[in-house]
Formats: sequence, structure tokens, C-alpha cells
Amino acid sequence: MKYDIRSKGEFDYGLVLIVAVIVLMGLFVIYSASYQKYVLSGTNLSLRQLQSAIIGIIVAFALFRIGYQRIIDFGYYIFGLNVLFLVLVLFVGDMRYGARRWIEIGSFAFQPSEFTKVTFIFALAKYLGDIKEGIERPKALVWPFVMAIVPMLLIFKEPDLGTALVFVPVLFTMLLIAGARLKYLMILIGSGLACAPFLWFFLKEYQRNRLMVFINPNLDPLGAGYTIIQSKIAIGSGGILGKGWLAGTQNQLNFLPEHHTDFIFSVVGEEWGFIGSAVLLFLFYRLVGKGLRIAETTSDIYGKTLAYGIVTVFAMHIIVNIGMVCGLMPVVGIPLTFVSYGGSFLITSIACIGILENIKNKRKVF
Amino acid sequence: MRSRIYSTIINIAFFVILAGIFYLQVLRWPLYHTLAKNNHIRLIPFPGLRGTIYDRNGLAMVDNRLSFDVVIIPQEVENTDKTYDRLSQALGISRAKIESIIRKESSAPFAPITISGDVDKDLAFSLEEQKQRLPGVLVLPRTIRWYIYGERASHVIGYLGLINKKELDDLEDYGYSVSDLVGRSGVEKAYDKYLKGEDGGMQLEVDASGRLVRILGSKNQKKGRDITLTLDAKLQAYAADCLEGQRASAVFMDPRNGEILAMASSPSFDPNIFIEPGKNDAAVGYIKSSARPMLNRAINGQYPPGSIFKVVLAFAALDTNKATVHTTYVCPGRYYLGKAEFDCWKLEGHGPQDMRDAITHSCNVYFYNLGRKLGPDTISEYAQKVGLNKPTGIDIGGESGGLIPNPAWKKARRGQSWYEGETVNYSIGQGDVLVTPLQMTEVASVLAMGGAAPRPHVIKKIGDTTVNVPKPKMVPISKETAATIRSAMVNAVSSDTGTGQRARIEGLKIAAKTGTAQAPNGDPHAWFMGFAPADDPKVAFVVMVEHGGHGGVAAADIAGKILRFAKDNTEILK
Repeated sequence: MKYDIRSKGEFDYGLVLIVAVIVLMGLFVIYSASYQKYVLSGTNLSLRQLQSAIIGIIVAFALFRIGYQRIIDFGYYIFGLNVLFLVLVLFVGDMRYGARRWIEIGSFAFQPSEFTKVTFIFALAKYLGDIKEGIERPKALVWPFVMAIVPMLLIFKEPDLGTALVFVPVLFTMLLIAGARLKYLMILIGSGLACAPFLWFFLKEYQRNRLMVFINPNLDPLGAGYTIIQSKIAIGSGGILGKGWLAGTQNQLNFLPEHHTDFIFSVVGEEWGFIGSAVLLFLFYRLVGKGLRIAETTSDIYGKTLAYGIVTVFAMHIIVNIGMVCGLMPVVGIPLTFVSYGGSFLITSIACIGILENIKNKRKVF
Repeated sequence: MRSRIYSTIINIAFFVILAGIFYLQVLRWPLYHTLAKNNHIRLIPFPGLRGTIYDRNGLAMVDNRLSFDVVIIPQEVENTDKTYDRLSQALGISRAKIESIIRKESSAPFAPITISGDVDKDLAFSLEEQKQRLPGVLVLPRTIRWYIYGERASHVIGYLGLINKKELDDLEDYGYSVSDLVGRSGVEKAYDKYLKGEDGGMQLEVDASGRLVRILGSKNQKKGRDITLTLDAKLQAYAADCLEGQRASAVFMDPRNGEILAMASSPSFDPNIFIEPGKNDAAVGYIKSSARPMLNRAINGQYPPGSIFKVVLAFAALDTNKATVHTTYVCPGRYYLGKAEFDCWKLEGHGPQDMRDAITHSCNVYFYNLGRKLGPDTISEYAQKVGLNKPTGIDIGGESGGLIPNPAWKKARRGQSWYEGETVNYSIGQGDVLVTPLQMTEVASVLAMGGAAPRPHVIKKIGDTTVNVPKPKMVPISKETAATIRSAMVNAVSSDTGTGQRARIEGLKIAAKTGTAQAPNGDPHAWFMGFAPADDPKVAFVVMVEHGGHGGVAAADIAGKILRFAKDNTEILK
């Protein structure tokens, strides 16, 4: 087959379609999850989520047009600016649900930590692309480690344990893909695990309780264990076919806390049953698979590590979120990609799709 | 290579999650389905009241009454210290006790915990008035079973207990549920299905904070059926009072139809104790007590009958023509069988006695002779004819059958031959023979009615429907035989040499027989069996006092007192 270097690059319509379906499902689920609120106060959260989605699409389109290489050139600056915001949020951030995660500008509020996931990936991709084979030296691992630990500590301080922890797999995946020596990575992981017990002392009381109730939810069925018990009841009681849209008793009667954000999957499970959850899980699986395909087939080290970073963020959120609402993992509190209510994360996620498409589009340039 | 590892990890993770969802939604669906239902559906029960139990004259013996429970709702208590102190003061319970109850019973912050059940009405009202000072403390009214006669009618009426697992399995289809109280003995048990009310309730849907979303359905409760007993409450209470302090029982029955007028057993128990969970110690005390207050001695106490058994021999001898009214034996005070000596209770001897005299004076020697003439098989045959050796069939059930031995029984049971000496003992109601007071009341009825053996029962009416009583069984006793024994029994009370003269009552002709039965340890048991008025019997009775002493004195005194009461204070003898 003749290869036309000037032809327009490829575009993965399937990926966009999958994301569109997931976001649409999410809008319906959010509508149901916030239905009682809507009835009482007229606040339509799914409409707001739709607005965020539209902003996300615009951002994604813009990033697609700009191209990831150009953004990577500014990777450090963007990341640095983002870290500044993380510092700022600790001082002027808006307190909600006992955490200082939001910066408010007028009526618009956003979570800098959600954007940090991506800006960190850009910065690290630039570093890894610049250093190339140099990554095999142990000294080269110091800088990525610092790049990860600084935002992690700042986010941990908010506090937002779940988001902070997302940096760990992203860091290791990108180092692994960039070609860092397995031996050094193992040492890093090993020393990280060795430090884990000391981390216990830095955890807040509620975070410790969450870990304790993961081991035994009945330790405190009305307190820390309540959420996970109710979430499992919601999902389990959905059965194969589910109770129907707007008809989940656990959801509609408020037995499930945070059911429009972190525990949105419980609503899917309760109202749409095993069929609904399995379809959603399959869509996620295809999404991650397509992302991986792009990452694997990209030879540009910048684009490759960037794509892996993005896919890892997606996969982490999906696996950890669903895992925790099903009781397979401790409750660390991270949202479900494209489905959980929350503007910053939705915009970031859709923007990432734009970047992925751009990587796919550009990869034949070389 | 590295990307392969990565994608493999992702694949495994997705697979594990899919399996997790499948496990929760498909395999464990039944469990979570129930849990979700329990979460949002609440049942507010309206307990159906149990039927009232009346005596034969319409006096309530068991009813339902309002009681007041003091409960605490932990989440609504504002100041724990103050509340506990005030509550402790008001209830007279130590603070430590209150705290321990709360610790033990607490299930959820919104679930009420009963601190003190069935408090005094005045205390309930005063606590209600102080409501503002005691947030979180509530006085809740509740209907409970009320045994008006307490210890004095408990064996016939019975008591209630929480339904157990096995009963629930058997009865669930009949509308019984987990926290139901069911009859554990007596009328409460035998007629439980009539007395039991039908629970009603409301099914509500609530949200996570317990607020009502809507009513899903409701059903009204229904009271159980009222029951009218054959007991005369006044006589019952008086009989129970007469037995107090002794191990004894008394049965008073209408011989014409088998209606039990009074059935008392002592020591007794208070059925009200079993209603209150807080009084468990007292209930356990009853069950553990060596005096066995839970035992209904009138139907479950099995004793040798002693001399009251002599009427059975008289019946046998006359009916088999082995003796006539005029058959006379001389009583020298003792009787020899080979070298063995058997005493008469009157050691100086009764002299020559015919059958009437022998019954009147309860002469042992006469009956030793008669018994040997009859033989053990004939004695046991006639004992069974008058209804011994098997339960009488009283409707409250659970009664014992006693024991009427004979040589075949002994051979089969012990592998031993029957000794002639046993026949001698048998003749005066000693040895292996065992009877219950109710069985002997039946025997008294047979003699009173000239053969008609009614089925003893305590139930008269269920609701407005009169309960059918089976026709009396006929014991083949001739008019003359019955008349002979009756006249001898009349003499036993009216003659100055009679053994039962202590029961004599002005204006009431009583026919009776005393009994003294050797008891293994201590004084012999005292029996008194009879009927009155002798010419037109309206009551047949047995009083039995364990270790009551010789000559039936203790039993005769009690029977006399109760009969006098019946004559003066009830309609029974009118």
C-alpha cells in the first residue's frame, strides 16, 4: 500500500463514539441520582454536567488543533503554574465537605488537582522525551520522583487521598514505558511500600476509618462502614435487570451518600442492573483498549509516554472507583471517569480524548 | 514486552471487576434484595389483643391492661449526665444500671431502649409532665396480658412465653410471628389458637433518615376470641388460699357434666411474671424451685391413693358377688399373712365390721380380707373400670395417667412374680398404685352419679358458642352397689365414729372418704374424696395434701372449709 505522507492523519471515530455514549449514559444517571434534589430545589445537575461536557469538547478540539508537541514544549511551565494553583488552593480554596479543593472565580469553581493529573503527564512526558535513553541511569529517576511527590503532598493536604494516589501508577507506568531499569523501579516501589506503614500516621481519622472498614465494614455500620454497605446493597439489589431509571430505592430514598459523584456506579448498578453495569464496564474496557492501541502504536517517545499516562489515569479511575463501590477496594474517594458529576474532571477527561486523538493523528508524521 | 505486561494487568483488573459485579448482582441478589427492602420498608405492628378469659359467672379472670414503659432514644438525649441522673432518681434505679441497660440494648441511635417496663401509672404521668426536662425519654403505653387472679388460678389458666423457633416453623402459616407470645400451659396453651388476636399493621416506605415517604398498605388488628371457663373464680381463689403454704391440690367438679369448678395446686406461680422480660430471675426461680410450683399437682401429681382406693374394692366385691353388704370380718387390729403382720390403722381393732362399717371407719383389716378374696387382677380390672390407669381427658391436656398394677404388668415391667403381700397392700391403695387427684375426682363422680363418668373440662364457651361436651361414659355399676358405697361415705362424715367427720357442715349432706397414703419420706399423704349434697350431687371433690399426716385430717379440714365457702358464697350448691 502506498503511504501518503501528506494525507490527513487518522482519526479514531470509534473512540469518540464510545466516550459520547458513556457521557450520555452519565447524564441520565446523574439526572436520576440528583432527581430528589431537582424536585426539591430545581437544580438540574445533569444540565450542568452537559455544560461541562460542552466546555470539555471545546477544550479537546482546541488541544487537538494545537497539537500535543507544542503543548509539551511548554510542559514544565504549565505544570509549574498548576502546582502554584495547588498551593493557592490551600490558602484561598473554598471549603466543601470538609476539604479545601476548589478555587472559586465568580460563579465558576474548579479543582486544580483534577487538571494536575494531566499537566503532570505533559511535564513528565517532556522530561522523558528529552532525556531519552538517559532514563536508564538511576540519577535520572530523581527528577520524576520530585515532580510527582510535590503535587501529591499538596493534594494530600487538601485533603484528597484518592487523587493524590493516582500519581503513583501514572509515574511508574510512564517510567516503565520510557525504558527505566526495572531494577531501579523495583527499588523505588519497595522503598515506597516500606514507607507505607508510616503513612498511616499522616492519615486523617476518617481516612483510617475507611481503611479499617474496608477490612470489616460491620465494624461501624452506621458510621464509616455505612457508605460501603449501602453501596453494596444498592448494586446487589439491582439484580440482572435493575430496578429501572429513577426507581432505585437506595438511590431515590437517599440511603446512598454521594450518589451523584463518587458512588454514581451504585446508581447504575441499582437502576440498570447487571446488564447496565456490564455494558458500561465493556464501554470502559473498549475505551482503555483503544487508548492503549494508540499508545502502543506511537513511536514518538513524547507521544507514547503521554498516551500511556492518559490511559493510566483513565484506567485507574475506572478500576479503583468501581472496585471501591463494589467493596473490592477501600474507599479512597475518586470519581468515575465521564460519569461522576463534576466539571473539572469531566473537562480534563474529554480534553484528554482530544490529546489522544491528536497523538493518533500525528503518529504517521515521522 | 513492557506494554504487554501493562495491558495484561489492565485486562485482569477489568475481569476482576466484572466478576465482582456479577457476584453482587447475580449471585448475591437475593440477600441484597432483602436488605434493600428492609432498608426502606417499615412495618408498624398493631398487635391483636388476646381474648379475655371469664369465669362461669362472667367475672374476668384474665384480661389485657395498659402498661407504661419508660424508654430512652439515645440520639435525642441532650445532656447524658443530667438525663441519666434524673431518670435514676425518678425510677429508683441506679445510674450504673441504666447505663448498663443502654450499653447492652443499644442497636441504633434512633432505636428506643426500654429502661423500665410496666412502671406505676402515677410515675408514668409524672414523667410525662417532666417531658421538657428529660429530652429523649419517652413513656410508651403498651397493652399487656393481665392475670387478675395471679397465683390463685395459674395452673388452669397457664401462662405465656415467647414463641420458639420450632413452634414458629409449625405455626407461621397460622399468622404467628417472631415476637409473639404463645400459651405455655393450661387454657392459654390448649386454646391458644382461639385466644390469639390477629395482628394488624401498617407498611410504610421511609427514606434514609427514617422519614415517612408513603403508606404502602395497612390492616386492622383483631382481638382474639373471649373464653368462658367453667371455673367459679371466687371458689377457685378461695381454694387456692386454703392450700397456701402446703404442697397440695384440690379439685372441685360438677359430677353431672364434668365442669371443673375449681382446680388449685400449691405452691403456685404468678403468670404475670412471664410477661415482663425484666423479671426473668423470678421465672427461672419458679422453674428451678424444688417445690415445683409450675407443676399442676391436680393433674400431674401421682400418688398412692391410700384408703380412698377402698371404694374401688367395695365396688369390685359387690359387683363380682365376692361379698355382699352384710359380709362381715372381725378386725383385731392386725392381719397376718404367713409370718408377715399387716396393721389396721386402729391398733386396738374395729371388731366385727360389715362393708358399710368398714368404709365408714376405713378399716384396713376388712379390706385386706376382701382384697385377698378378689385377687390383684380383679382389683386392677375394676380400678380401670372407674377410669384409673389413664388420663381423664381433661381439655387443658398434659395430664398424667397414674398406674394400676397387676401381676402381668409386674412380670413385664420388673420380671418378677406378684407376691400375695402386695395384694394385701394393694387393697388399701398402697404399693405401686398411683393416681392423680383429678382421676379420684372422676371416681367420686362415678359414685355420685351412679355410674356416669363425665369428661372433665374447664371450657364453657368460646366467644358466644357453647362448647359441646361429650356424653358421660357409663361405668357398669349397679344402683344398689353405688347406693351402698354412698351411704357408707355419708356415714364417714355424719357418724361420730366416721373418719371424715371433720368436714361436717350444718345443712349439707356430704359423702366422703378419707385416705392416708404412706409416703417415702416423711409424713403420709392425706386424701379426702367425696361429693355433696349426697342425695343430689352438685359437686364432686378431692383434696390432697402431700405429707398431710394421718387420717386425712389435713385434707378433710380443707375440703370442709371450701365446701362451706361454696355453700355460703356461691351458686354451686343451690
